[in-house]
Amino acid sequence: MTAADGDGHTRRRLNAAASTLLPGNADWPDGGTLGLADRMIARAAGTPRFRAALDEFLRQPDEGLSPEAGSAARDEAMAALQARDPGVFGLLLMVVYDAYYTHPDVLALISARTSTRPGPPQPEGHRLPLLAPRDLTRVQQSGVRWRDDGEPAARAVRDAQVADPDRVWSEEEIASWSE
Amino acid sequence: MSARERTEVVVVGAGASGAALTWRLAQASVKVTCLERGRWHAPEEAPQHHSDYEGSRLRERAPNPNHRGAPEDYPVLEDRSAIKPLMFNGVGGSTVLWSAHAPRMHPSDFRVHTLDRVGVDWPISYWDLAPYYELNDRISGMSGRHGDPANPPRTPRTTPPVPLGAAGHRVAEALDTLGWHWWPPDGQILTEDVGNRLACNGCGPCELGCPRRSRSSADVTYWPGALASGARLVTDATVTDVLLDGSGRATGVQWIDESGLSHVIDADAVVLACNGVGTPRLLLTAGGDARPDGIANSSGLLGRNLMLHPIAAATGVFSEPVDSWAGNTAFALLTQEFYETDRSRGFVRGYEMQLVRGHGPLITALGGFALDVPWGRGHHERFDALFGHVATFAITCEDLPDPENRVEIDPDVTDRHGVPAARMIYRVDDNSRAMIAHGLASAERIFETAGARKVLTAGLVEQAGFHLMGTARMGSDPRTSVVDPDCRTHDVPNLVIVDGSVFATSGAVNPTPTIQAVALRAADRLLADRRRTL
Repeated sequence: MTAADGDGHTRRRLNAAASTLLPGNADWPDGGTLGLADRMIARAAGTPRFRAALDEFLRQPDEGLSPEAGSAARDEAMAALQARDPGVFGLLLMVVYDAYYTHPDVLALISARTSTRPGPPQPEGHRLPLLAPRDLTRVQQSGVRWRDDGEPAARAVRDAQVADPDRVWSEEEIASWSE
Repeated sequence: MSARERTEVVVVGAGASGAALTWRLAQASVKVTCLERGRWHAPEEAPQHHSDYEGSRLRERAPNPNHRGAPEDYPVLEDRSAIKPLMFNGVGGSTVLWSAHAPRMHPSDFRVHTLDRVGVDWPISYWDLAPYYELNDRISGMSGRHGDPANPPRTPRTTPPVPLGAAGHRVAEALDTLGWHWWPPDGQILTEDVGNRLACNGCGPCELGCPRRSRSSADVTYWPGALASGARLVTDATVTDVLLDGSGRATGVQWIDESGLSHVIDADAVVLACNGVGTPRLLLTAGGDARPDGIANSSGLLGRNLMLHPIAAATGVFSEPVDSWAGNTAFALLTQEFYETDRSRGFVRGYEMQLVRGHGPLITALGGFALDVPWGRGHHERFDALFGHVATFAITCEDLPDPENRVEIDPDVTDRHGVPAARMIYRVDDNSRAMIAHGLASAERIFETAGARKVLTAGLVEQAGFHLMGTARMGSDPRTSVVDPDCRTHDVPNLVIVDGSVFATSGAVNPTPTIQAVALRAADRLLADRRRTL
């Protein structure tokens, strides 16, 4: 059995894994009920490390991880897999979470629970207020703090910066430091 | 079957440094050809217009080449490295998957041995690079605010700083309460429209690419001008050898195209810009069996002194929403309170702390920065408590050079063209560990002052090896360095290296602006040589 087979048993195994990792609660849907298997198989198809991990997961004995096992037995079997093969487990987790947290129903739910939008971040983006210059006054008044390296330019530049911390320098002036 | 052609300067690698150098040479009418093993990735290909944008970070836009596994990637063996390699192969190089935080090194960073009796001094100073930092800022576009008292002066920035955001305002107030330094950092992200580049609209995940071209990846900044000035860029071109004549001068490079056809390009000068792993890999394998130590390695230091910047993370969890997903991910503000040496802290040199915002739902669920999100029962409750409620300090530590930290060649693993893989061998030293402990304690103090209800910490972030430095060290003495102050290899004077390999020490800041300033300066030195020989 491999993820590429995509047969009914494979799908049930993958949905059971999603249900174990993301069991849902009063506010959140169970990963298994969302039918994530097809999304998981699609993600694995284009990514060799994910495909290999899903195949390895599907090669594990059915006992404990099967859809028919109870949730406590599946929790125990999943924890055993995590301890036995953390690499495979970590990749399985990525595939399941990728399928869940990019699912339209879950994104809509997150949007309803927070101030995010349900869609992608573009084209609207997020508007945040710009910094007010007054916010920097305390820091600037605390004094020049970079360390003198002993080079000829350092002392003169430092003295000028102490005299006027907010002075506007030109590229030409800065180029003269190395002359 | 093979093809042969000629150019004045051949550049290997079209990333941050290769792009900057090629632009500078092309502007001076030099016939320059750049070979890039990857392809163009148009900014519009970035995934933020799609609802499953976050998943791309696990797949085709994964920063670790071993996870991404694209045909143009080469294997980097990481089993003996505490920090894993992150890089990208394509036009723009690793700036394609870049958060664009762009602080400069300090003057003291170039005089580490003189000032603190550790590491080595650079053979050039901050003041030598200052004009090139400015040039790079102008060409790339830089948001920020001049007047930071922790750094020497600079010109007004191209656009105002990125917004602080809700968490940033809280943390800034906390730093003011503590009397500690902070500043809105320089970032290669435009906050106003400039030409065909749109102002950042704070969509979030800069590290996946920027469809608005607000972020200054090298494909957006340097390459259009370079090509308009006559530079030639060949993509899907994997360089497999650097060719020398009987007198030991470089005559060009051999490369393989996508179809497997072998080519030779002859040149007056060869410039390597393949990053701190790719450059030593190419030089250590160059010449084949006839040169078991590679090329430009009479010092024995090629591949040695690998520096990666150990990074730790501390995440403040706030009871109230701080909309962590909004705004550019990687930097809201920067504190360099602990940047310069104070031996009473228990370590030498220092670290910077950049305030990182949060992630979208998927990466938050996977643990993001230093989060503890269980699977199974309790997962959803923890997600609710964290998503949109966090901010993180990334603590970037100066990494002192150690010759045992290195890039080696593993002949048993090869890329698709049969070129042996690189292996990173790297351990974190006690000085860095002391810095990490101090940095985490500092972050906890800031977040507690800012009203965070909890602080979660990660001692060392494993997937953080973006800053690849030191493996072809710059110096004046051929016995103790690989390249001279103008980036020419001591052994092969018309072979030049301009990527992070040439860093003598690392500083404690993101290296890209310094890499680009060094590359622009090296271009001017090549132009000066050319004028002398005309």
